[in-house]
Amino acid sequence: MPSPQSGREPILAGRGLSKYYGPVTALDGVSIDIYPGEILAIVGDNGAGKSTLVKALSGAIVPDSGEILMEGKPIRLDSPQKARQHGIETVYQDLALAPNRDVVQNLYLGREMCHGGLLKPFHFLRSREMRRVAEQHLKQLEVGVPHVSGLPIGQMSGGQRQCVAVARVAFWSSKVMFMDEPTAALGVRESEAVLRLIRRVAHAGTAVVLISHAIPHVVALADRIVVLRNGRKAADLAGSTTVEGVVNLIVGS
Amino acid sequence: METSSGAVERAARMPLSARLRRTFVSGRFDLVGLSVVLAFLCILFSAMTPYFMTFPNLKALGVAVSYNAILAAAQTVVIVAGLIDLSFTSILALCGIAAQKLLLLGAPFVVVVAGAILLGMALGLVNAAICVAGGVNPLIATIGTGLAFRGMAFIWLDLESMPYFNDTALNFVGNGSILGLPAPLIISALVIGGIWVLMRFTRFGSRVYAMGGSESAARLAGVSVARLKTLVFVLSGGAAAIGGLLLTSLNGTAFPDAARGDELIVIAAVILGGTALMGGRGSVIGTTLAVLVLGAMANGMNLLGTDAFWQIFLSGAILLLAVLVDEQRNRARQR
Repeated sequence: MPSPQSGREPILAGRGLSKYYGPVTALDGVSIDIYPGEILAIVGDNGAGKSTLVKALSGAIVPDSGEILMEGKPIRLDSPQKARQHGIETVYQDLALAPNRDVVQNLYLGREMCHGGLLKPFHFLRSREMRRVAEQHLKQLEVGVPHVSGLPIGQMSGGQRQCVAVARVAFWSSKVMFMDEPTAALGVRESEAVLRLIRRVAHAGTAVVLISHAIPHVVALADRIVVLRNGRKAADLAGSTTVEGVVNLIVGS
Repeated sequence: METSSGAVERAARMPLSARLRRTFVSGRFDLVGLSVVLAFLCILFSAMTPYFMTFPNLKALGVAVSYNAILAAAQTVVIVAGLIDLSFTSILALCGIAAQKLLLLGAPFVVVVAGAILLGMALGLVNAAICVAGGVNPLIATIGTGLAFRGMAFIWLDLESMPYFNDTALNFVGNGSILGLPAPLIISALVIGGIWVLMRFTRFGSRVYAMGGSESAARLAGVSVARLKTLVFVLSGGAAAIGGLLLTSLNGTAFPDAARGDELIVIAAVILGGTALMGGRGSVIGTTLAVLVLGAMANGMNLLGTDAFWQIFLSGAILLLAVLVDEQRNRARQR
């Protein structure tokens, strides 16, 4: 595994992020660096602040204090759409894919290729071209789906759907990809496929940040592990760690 | 969740009844099945009465069907989008009145047509404002606007000042012929064809299907759901206006209670044609075939002198059957 801190600049960084919900402190001055091409896992017990941190970094919520830096420059992420403009995207489980549409249609949803020229206002789809490019991209990422077009993804397995969701984010060359519990609803074989895909996406240059409760997966896959406890950063681990070591840090023994 | 290999194992063990059910409720059956039913009805009615397969009867059937087919094609778009519009018959009536008023003011044909369609689109915009901006459930909202628009039609139309019109360009729309075929048939073919192209080949259609399948997916992917819903309602209003032009032309004058009660038969055709009530699935071709089936049935039963009550009963039974099949399709698709 490449060492992320070998003189590279973080692509996305949070400095002193805090978020309060009334009397509850969800995040308490958390600073975090995310480097391009690395797989970073954020772990912690329930209520430790994992979701809040990821939401703040991906534009889903606005932190009460602290700043967010993109390639060294401070930015304000008011909405997920704003985040997407910066190249930050989140892979949602099942909520971001249309089950009645096939893989190509889902890949291009919202960003369809259309014909220009005289008929431009009608936005006629370049279906054949989209299918060709999608097939190429999926082959590159080694994503195996039964049919790229014609088969609604609702009729595919959960693992295949998750792979399509990941492939979509990678397709639009996002700089940072957030994932919340990527293997939660998946069986063993399917989890393996998704994790291998995540590794390939990171290898291509995208920074992947995952929240996961599956500590064995995290230890095997992640280049770095950030442990949160009670809204604060408890540890920032690089290199090899053990499941037991991580669990101890989560629990705080 | 099962893997693809798991799905193969299940298929090997599936009993005959389940296999039959799967074939019958899968997508293709809609279009093939409807064509078979249509052919069967034509054969049946031809055998039972010599008048069915005559050119005048088929022309009359074509005219009756073409008017409903336009409305049904537009409603297909609305229902696929995950919405519903029960105000379209009222919009139709209002636009028919507008068309005749414009005609009586001496407006040229183009202005009459454009005026009616623009009014229809504006009324569709009202629906959109209530549902999209106001956040009201489309079913309730369009029942409300349907009643309101119908009331406006009655208020606006002063029967004394609306004589029957003859020999105007508007008469041609309903009663004329183009290349030997009735004008309504040609007009509806063009409108339905246009809607088919829209749904199948354009970004609008693709996004409507996606939004119908999962509104959150469309929104998260960056599609402006509000704008899309507004366009759908405007399309529905515009199509209703074209229907209003046709009906007004066919009748020779506008009536405030035009098309009243036709909502259910139009929506029945949409469902029978394979459109899922919850959105995301459906085709204009299937809907048009269903309109033909229902139209042929009504036409045949009229020729046979069947009691009107039996026709109403059968329409209801067919709608129930269509909804049952739709439900079975839903269950088959969920794993």
